[in-house]
Amino acid sequence: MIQTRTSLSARAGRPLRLLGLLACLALCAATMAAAAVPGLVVRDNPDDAGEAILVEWNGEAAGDSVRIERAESETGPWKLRRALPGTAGTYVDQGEGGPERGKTYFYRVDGQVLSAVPKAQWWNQGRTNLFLILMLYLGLILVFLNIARRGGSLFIRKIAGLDAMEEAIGRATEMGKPVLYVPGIDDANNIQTIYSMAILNSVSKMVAQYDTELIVPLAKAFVLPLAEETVRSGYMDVGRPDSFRADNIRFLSDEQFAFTAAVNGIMLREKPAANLFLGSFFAESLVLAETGFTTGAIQIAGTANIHQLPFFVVACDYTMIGEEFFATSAYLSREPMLVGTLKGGDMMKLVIMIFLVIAAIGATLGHSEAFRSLLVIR
Amino acid sequence: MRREIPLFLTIFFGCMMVIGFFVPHPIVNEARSRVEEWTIILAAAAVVLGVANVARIHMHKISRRDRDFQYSFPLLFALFLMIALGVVPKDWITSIGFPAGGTDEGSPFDWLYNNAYVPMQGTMFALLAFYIASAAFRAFRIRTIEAALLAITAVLVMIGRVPVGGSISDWFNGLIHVDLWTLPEIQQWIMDIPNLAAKRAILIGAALGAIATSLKIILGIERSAIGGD
Repeated sequence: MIQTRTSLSARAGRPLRLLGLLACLALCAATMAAAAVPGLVVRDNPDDAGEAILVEWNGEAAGDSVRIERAESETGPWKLRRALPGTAGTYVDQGEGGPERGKTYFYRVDGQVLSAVPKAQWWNQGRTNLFLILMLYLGLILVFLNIARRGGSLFIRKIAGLDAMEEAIGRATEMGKPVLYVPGIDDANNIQTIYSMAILNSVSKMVAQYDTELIVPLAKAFVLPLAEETVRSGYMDVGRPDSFRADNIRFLSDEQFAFTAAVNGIMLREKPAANLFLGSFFAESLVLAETGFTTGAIQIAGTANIHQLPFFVVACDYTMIGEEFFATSAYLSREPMLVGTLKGGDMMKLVIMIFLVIAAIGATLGHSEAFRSLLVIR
Repeated sequence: MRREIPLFLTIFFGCMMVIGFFVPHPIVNEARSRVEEWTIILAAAAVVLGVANVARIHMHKISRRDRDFQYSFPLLFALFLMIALGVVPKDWITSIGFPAGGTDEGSPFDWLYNNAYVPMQGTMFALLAFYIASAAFRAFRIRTIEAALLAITAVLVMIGRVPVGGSISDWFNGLIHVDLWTLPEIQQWIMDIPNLAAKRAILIGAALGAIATSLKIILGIERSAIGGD
């Protein structure tokens, strides 16, 4: 009987055990599914305008692939955003069809559901290091500006090209020939073009004092009013507004080689005695400088486009390399405020040099990542 | 006020751009994008100024019978022809037998651009090869120790960069049975170590100069760029 009862209970318990086994299997499957995306985090993407959500997981421990679905409510409907290899580790949901600022979004990643709200930030923390560097630079500039204001003597090394500028304009005056000033071929949104206008102001004053003709060919129409106003104010500052000739500020073409051909034409026909190439130049630099060389003009060039420097060095009498170009107005005017900013820049270079030496030693000792992480900008 | 207003605008918009770089919030970013759009519109409007400048200068030249004034005729003709072909309604052009109008493919504008302008531009660019040769000839004349160093380095880099450089090295190493550095390895070392170091130094200096200049203009210290002292 007992045996019968046992066999009966055994018979009755079989479906129960089967159910238990199925429940165990379901639990294991659920656990395995959850384990497929270990370390899953869904959060607002940092340092942005609130139009992205960041999905992160442990890529090393994840399965072969990860399906990322999104819904606006916890129950769906779910829309597949991306299927990625498990090793990817991150996905930023943004761009076309991306999340809207302030709305709650639910993400289902291989069964796990998490939510996040995209928010706009008031500060990009990934750029804090750059901000601090900029503040340090600004601080140094202000310190030296203050020293210059108080009358402290600030030394600027000799820059041969800038010393030769007045000599070149003087030679043009003696020969009764014009001075050609090319402010590069870039637009007014390039700092080199803007700075070239500052140099043009100094040059136009010198030219006006000597009563020499100044020709300024331009490759961008946007620079035309800027150049016209700069030259006019230069002539006015030295009391010779009547010598200013608007026809000499010439827009030629915004096509690179059409402009080059036109400037070459000016050099060959009008034979300027001094050619000043100061600004942002590209492939036309050598064509211009070589043509100027054949006409026998004194040529002074300056650019921060390092790939064009060799051409200018070869074909011009004087070349201002990189930072020397940006020192021009301070050098020519010797105005304490401008000289002060120049010294601030020199001090910043010293800070960078010290950092580079420390970083080189640190990298040699195996800490290159620590130094690199200081300079990463997002 | 002639100088104060431009200065104020420079400082205001300059600061806005700098702040926009560090603040991702849409209030700041949208204002920044809007200003950038204005720049594009202003640049487009400036083209009209440019065309007016070209037309004025060459008309003056013709009216005064200046030297070489006759060249101004084809220039003005080409200028106004291209403008006309670009702006007249497309169906006017197609009605006189051309396959397309405006600046579309097959239009007279497109034909002139591809068959007149592009070959002329190509010709100008091709001149660069001759200018490089003449400039290199002058640069590599050995007059001083520095010039000698420059010439030797240039020769090593030039030979090392062409296949014959590798062949010369292999032949020479085989001849003396010593595994010396090959010319391609030497040129690579020159490019990667001394050349790159110098390039980066210039680049850092130029970048700092550019930042300092931008700050000077934004803070109103450098005013000559906007027509004032």
